[in-house]
Formats: sequence, structure tokens, C-alpha cells
Amino acid sequence: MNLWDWDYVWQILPDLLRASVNTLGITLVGFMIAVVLGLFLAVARRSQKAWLSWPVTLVIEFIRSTPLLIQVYFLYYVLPAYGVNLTAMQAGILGIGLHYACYIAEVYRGGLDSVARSQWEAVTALNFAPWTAYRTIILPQAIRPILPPLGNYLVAMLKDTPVLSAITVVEIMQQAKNVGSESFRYLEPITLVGLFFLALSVALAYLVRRLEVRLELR
Amino acid sequence: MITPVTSLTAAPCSTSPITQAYAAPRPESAQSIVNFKDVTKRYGNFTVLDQLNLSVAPGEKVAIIGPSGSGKSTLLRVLMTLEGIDEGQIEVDNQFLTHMPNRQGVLVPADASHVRKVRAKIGMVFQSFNLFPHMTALQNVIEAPVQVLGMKPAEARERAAGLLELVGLGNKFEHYPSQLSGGQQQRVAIARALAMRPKIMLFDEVTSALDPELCGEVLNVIRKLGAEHNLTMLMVTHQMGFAREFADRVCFFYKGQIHEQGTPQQIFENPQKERTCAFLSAVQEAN
Repeated sequence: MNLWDWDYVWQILPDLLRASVNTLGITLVGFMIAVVLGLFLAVARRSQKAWLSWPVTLVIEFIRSTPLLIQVYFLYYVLPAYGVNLTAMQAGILGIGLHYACYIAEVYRGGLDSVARSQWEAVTALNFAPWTAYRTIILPQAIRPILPPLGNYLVAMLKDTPVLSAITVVEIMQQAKNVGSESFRYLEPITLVGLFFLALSVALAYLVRRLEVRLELR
Repeated sequence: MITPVTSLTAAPCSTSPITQAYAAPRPESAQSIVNFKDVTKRYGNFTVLDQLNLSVAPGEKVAIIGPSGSGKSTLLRVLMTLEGIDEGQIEVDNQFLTHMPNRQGVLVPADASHVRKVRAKIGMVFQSFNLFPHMTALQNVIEAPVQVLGMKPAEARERAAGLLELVGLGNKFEHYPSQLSGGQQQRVAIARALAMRPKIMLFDEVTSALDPELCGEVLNVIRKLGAEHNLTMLMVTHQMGFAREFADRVCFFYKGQIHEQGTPQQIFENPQKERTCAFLSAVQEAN
């Protein structure tokens, strides 16, 4: 048996590439959910209103303290019993988006805390509505320090997408297992998947770094 | 720092009831634009405002002096609603600020929209300027009128330019706060507050963070405002010379109350109470 079979590589590559589109799509859509929802969670958690901040804090801590795998299982296998039927892809994207929203909420919280209290006093004195203040004054100042951790979570999220193979989402890892099980040859597909994640992680880290530099220069 | 309520009546150095004598011709609350009624504010056990009463007439310039911790900055901060009060009421332009009458006519704590409506009449300038660091001087002045008052950007820009001219910064429109001196930043902050067309301006130790040679340019702007606009002004200041020359009335704060008040002449030349005398001579020595 060859150590590395190039013919086999060329044979399985199209299947893996097709599945990699799913991986990328899950990461992008999931990250968008996480970035937007995370902001709402962070602002809600900072609210003076206990009826809002308390439950939100509880949810964030609960989700951060339990494995992603269990959460996606819950969405895909438990919710249908209560009449909520999600496709594997929907459950997967929602699950990973929610999971990372809770981590990213904490990143936002750090960024928002880094904006001086006196800025809040200024917007109060100028009679800004809270959401307008967040949008035009507070967030633009909070975004710079949170870019590096945000980038880290994007990469971490990408690397967590194989978890979704457990609920039958055909992302690149699931596809590699499929093609491997057909030929009983796992070396090439699993190696290719590893290389795919390596290349993408490095590329993303580079892009985030570029963005940071551009924001710093302004 | 704990202030027992019983010790609040410090012994006066003279028995002349100058506070009462001055209080008599104060306008009734209907004619006053700012009215504090028995306002108490506590931080834990520390009573920072103690059943404070203060009535300010429209257009009046009131200087607030006193030792640190006497509650003078807190007075401005609760008026700006940066902090809540524990007891009493504040009226601004004949409307309750922190309270509002409910359907039965009973006063209840005001909701956010009521507070915003009344607060719109007040502008504030801070000791540390608090400009928006990610915006140019012009944007700092434009932002609130556009976002809060819904003014058209072109109109807001034109007015902002006029206000920056007024404070002597006609050539600094595109500078970021970090590129401006402290005195220039503070003047942008004044223009920014004026852009919201307040009736009442609060100045909280606006020259304390400035090098002495930069104080003058900020005080000159305030002088100009006082002369050209019918603004009501409340200023907490350590600049006794400026208070004396500019204010219609000087209030000496001590332990969360107005210990003595009167015209600048009365307070600076003929203070009636021991605490006032002690404070003024301490300040004089420091200078």
C-alpha cells in the first residue's frame, strides 16, 4: 500500500471542495449571527434593568459553560419533540452562532467597558438616546480594542465547524469521513481536511491583522 | 467623610441672617428656571447634598464655590441627570426633572422619555472636556444636533462652523481632539454644548484641568456668552477672580448645603460666616 496516493487525492478532491463550501458558509453565516447577537447580549447584560441583565447573564454563562456538541444535539434532536423542526444545516448554523455569540458578547463587554465613563456623561449631557449613543459614539471607540479577540473567535469558530458533523451536516470533515469509509483509506482525506483548516486559519489571521493595522492608522 | 446630619449647622462667625435676607427677593418657583426643593443625595452613608434648596432666575449667572466634597459638582451632576437624587424635587423651566405627575396627579419618578424632554434644556461642560476622540472638532459639534435633534447635516454643519468661529476656532474644523490644546478642546466642548440650544449651561470646573495660561481663553469665551446670550449659567469654579467679576450671585457650599450666598461683593468683601471666611482666606493663601 502506498504511503500517499496522489491518484486517490485527485479523485476525492472535488467532493471535499464541494463540502468545504458548506464549511465556509457555516462559518460566515454563524459568525454574522454571533457578531450581531453578541452585541445585543452585551448591551442587554450591561443594562441597568435587572429583569433584562439577569436572564441574559444566566443564558450567556449557561451556554459558555456547556459543550457546543450538546447544544447542537439539543437543537437538532430534542427540539423536534416540541414541534420545532430545523434542518441539520439550520440547527448547526444556529447552534454555532448562538454559542459564539455568548463568547463574543463578553468581548464586546470588555470593549464597551474600555470606553471611558466620561464619554457616557458627554452623551447624556447632549441628550443622546441610548441606542444612538452606542451606534455613533460608544461602539466606534470600542471596536478597535476588540478586533484581535474577534478575529481569534472567527478562527476558533471555523475550527469548531467539524462538531456539526455529529448532527449529519455535510461539512468538510463529514465528507472526509464519508469518502474514507467508502475506500477504507483515511490518510489522504483527513490530511487534506487538516491542510484546508490550516490554510484558512492562517489566511483569516492575516486578514484580521491587516484590518487592525488599517484601523490603527486612522 | 461621614457626615452626621446633626453637625450640619456650623457656627456662623456673625449672626447677621444674610442668607435669609438675600433669599427673600428670590423669584418664586414660577419665575425661576431651575429650582431645587429639599434635594438630598447620598453616597452610602455620606450625604453629599443635604435638603438643598436653590432657585435660579432665567438669565442669572450663579457661581458655586466651596471646599472639595461640599457637593458643588454633585449639584450640577444631578441637574444634568448624570446621577439620581434620593429625596426632594428638581424643577427645570417649570417642569419636574426627576419626577412627573401620574394620572392621579401624584408625583412619581420620571420615565426616560420625560427626563430626556426636560434635560434637553440643559447643556454641560466638563472639567475633562469629554470630546469624542474619534471625531474632528466639527464632527463633535455636528453629531448631537443631527442625531438627537434630527437637524439636516448641512444645516448642522453651518451652525457648527458658526459656533466654532464664536469660540475662536474657525481654523481648527478638521482637527481631532488629540491635535488640540486643552484650552482649544474645552472651547470645542463649549461649542458642542451650545449646538443643542440649551437654556441653561452648567460649567463644572471647566478650567481646572488647564494650564494657567490656557484658562484665559476659555474664560473669555464664557464672558462672551454671558454678554451676548441670555443663557442661565451655573458654574462650579475655583477661579475666585472670575466668579467675582462674572457672577450675579455666589453660593458658598459647605457640607451639602448652601452655607452662605449673596452678590460677589457681599461674599468676597463681607462674608458673614466663619466657614466662608476660612475658605476664602485659604484660597487666597493658595494663590
